[in-house]
This record gives sequence, structure tokens and C-alpha cells, in this order.
Amino acid sequence: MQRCLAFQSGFVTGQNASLRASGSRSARAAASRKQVVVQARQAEAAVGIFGTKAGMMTYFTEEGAAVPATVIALEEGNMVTMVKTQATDGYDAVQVGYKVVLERKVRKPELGHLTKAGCPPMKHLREFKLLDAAKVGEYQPGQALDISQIFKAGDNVDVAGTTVGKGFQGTIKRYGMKRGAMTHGSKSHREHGSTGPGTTPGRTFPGLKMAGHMGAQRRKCRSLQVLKVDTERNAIVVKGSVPGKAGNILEIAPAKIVGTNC
Amino acid sequence: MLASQNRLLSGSRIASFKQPQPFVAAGRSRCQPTIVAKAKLAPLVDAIKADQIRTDLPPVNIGDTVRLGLLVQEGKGKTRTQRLEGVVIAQSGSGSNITITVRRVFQGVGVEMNFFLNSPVLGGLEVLRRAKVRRAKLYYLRDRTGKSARLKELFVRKEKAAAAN
Repeated sequence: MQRCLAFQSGFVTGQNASLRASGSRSARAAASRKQVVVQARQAEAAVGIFGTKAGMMTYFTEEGAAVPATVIALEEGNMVTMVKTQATDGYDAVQVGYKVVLERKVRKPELGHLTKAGCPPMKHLREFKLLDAAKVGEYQPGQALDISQIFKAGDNVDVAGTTVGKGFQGTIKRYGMKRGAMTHGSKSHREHGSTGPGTTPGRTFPGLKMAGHMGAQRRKCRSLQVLKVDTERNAIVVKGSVPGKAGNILEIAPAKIVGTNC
Repeated sequence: MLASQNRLLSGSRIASFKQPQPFVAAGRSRCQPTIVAKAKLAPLVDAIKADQIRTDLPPVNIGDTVRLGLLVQEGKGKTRTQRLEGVVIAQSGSGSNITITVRRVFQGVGVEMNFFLNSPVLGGLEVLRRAKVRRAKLYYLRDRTGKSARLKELFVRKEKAAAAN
């Protein structure tokens, strides 16, 4: 389960003025800092569901276009397990469980948590953090989420998931750096080249792009069109590709469109 | 321990929930692996693909001379059927995304067109003539013109054709 890392560091304006006028340099610097609210994790536009990537296909739309599409299977689960509010937890979110499994596969504390919500043992528990606090009131623990009410064909969705792991990769694949000449006496083909200036500053800067682990990270594909919602087979067909391979757990939420819902 | 856990769940509101049955392979009664998610996902994709397969069009073979009716959008809402003719020189793909390549020499210029056989854009398909070919792909026709590009006609008895359909 996610832990909220929200914290606030702020200074009252009255205090600011008095500290700025008098006091030490550090106090004045502290006073002139603006109020900063740091919140970890982006919020979603609305509560979504979880799915499992099943595979890809060529989908024929009604207009006659042949588009690449991904089939996302919806396994048993997608139930609200907990509702978090500003008063109790400091932020607004709806916790959803996914993928019903055998009891012995879920740890005892988690099993107790799920039973308290009136839910079967589920493997994955993740939150949909909401921007709009009022929407949280619509959900209760134990509520099953119905896909046909959340999504329909033609909607846009944001699909998030863990990308395919590529392992330790060089800078060409990892950052798109250009390789050197393969012939004409070149001795540098797939190297990263220079790592910075010389005596001044006499060091390499942090954040320099170098070889390292690539992939296996959470990424979100924004605004994919829903082509089909299959309620009998429990599947959604979205246009385009989504992160990961078949069997990957995906978070499907209504698309965040600037100006309308975010 | 399992009995106590079951008692905890017996008071749950979910009446329709049932434990997923573990898959037991014959001869391996000791270890009972549960159904792996990936095994169920491929059949699901196949089922959704199968929804798109059209059954109203006749079967097409390599070497057939076909006439296709392509639904073309004209302005707002109006659709008309454009007729296209040619020889099927290649077939690719399987299942819902079978593609055929139709070749025709139009006003002195060789033209090849690709079509998805299951696309809703295909209004109709008519096989005019079948040919006896000994290749899966007739790309050699690109180098031939006129009489050397002729294909031997394949005669199918009416009873056999009726039985095939």
C-alpha cells in the first residue's frame, strides 16, 4: 500500500515581513522563501480500474480504418478496498484491489484488511489519488467497479504500467546518443564520447547521461482511445500500444485533459 | 489455519466470489500450480479477433481474377461502391488480418493494391476466373506483360464448386 509523502513547508506572511526587516541572513533567506507544497504521486482525474495486458491485434473501426490495438483483460477483482480522505489520511484517494487469488497467497495482515472491507483475497492493491475531493464520497469499501459505467467506446484513457525491462544498456539505446563512424579509421563506435569540460570545473556534473539499467519503470501512455468495451469477455480494446508485455498489470484511468478534468 | 480464515471470509458480503480452481496436471498430484494468467490471455485475444472475421465473402485463392467493391465515402454520409479488378498475386497474414495483393495493368501502368479481407470497407468480392498456379506468390508477373503474363485457367466442375461452397 502506498504511503503518502505529502508535507508542507510554509511561512506566514506576517512573520516574513518581520524576519526580513531584522534578523540574520539565514533567517531573512528562510523568510523570503515562498510557501511550497510538495506532494508525491500525481493525482488522477477519476477512479479507474486495473487490467492485464493480453495482446495486440489489428482492429477494424466502423469507418474502415485498420488500427493497431491492444486487448486488455480484466481479471476478477477491481473492487474498492479502502477510501482515504483528507481528514483521516491527509489526502483523497480510492484504494482498489485486483486479481483474486487463493487465500494462502495473501499475507495475513493484508487478508484481514481485505476482509474488513468485505472483499475476497486479492493480489494487487493500488490507489487512485483524486484531484477532486468530492468524488471520494461516491465510493465505499466492498464496492465492485463496473467497467461499462466508467468507460465506453470512444473515450480516452490513460494507461500506466511497468515498461519492458531492457537490462544494462549503453547510451545509444538508453539516451539516443549518436554513434561514431564505423569505418574511416574511427576508433569510437558506440561510446558516449566526452563527459564534460577539462580543468575547469575539473569534475563531471551529476546527472550525466551514462550507461545503466533501462526499462522496468512505471510509464503512462496518455489519451488512448477506447475502441471496444467487451462486458461478456471482461476485456477492453484500446488503440495503440501500452507498456509491458502480455501479463503485465495496467492501471486504466479516464484521461486527464487539461482544461476539462485537471 | 485455513478453516479459521474461511470463517473470517464467511461473513463477507461477496456471495458470488469463488476460489479459482487450481489446475492439476495428470501424474503430478503433489504440486498444484494455479492457472497461469498468460494461458488465459491468448485465447481472449483470439476470441476478440474472431469477432471481426467476415463470413459473407467467397474464398479467394492465388491467381484468381477478382472484382472488389470498395465502399468509398463521398461527402457527408454518402457512400458509393468503387469497382476494382485484378489478379490476386499474394496473400499474407492469418485469421482476422488476412491481406491480399491485387495486381492490374491500368492504362499501361502496373498497379498493385492491398486489401484486408475482413475489413468493413470491402462491400463485395466476386471471383471472376480461377487460375492454375504453382506458386504462393506471383511476383514474377511484375516482369511480364501481355501474353506472357497470362495465367492458365483452372476449370472446376460445377458439382465440386457447389460442394466446396
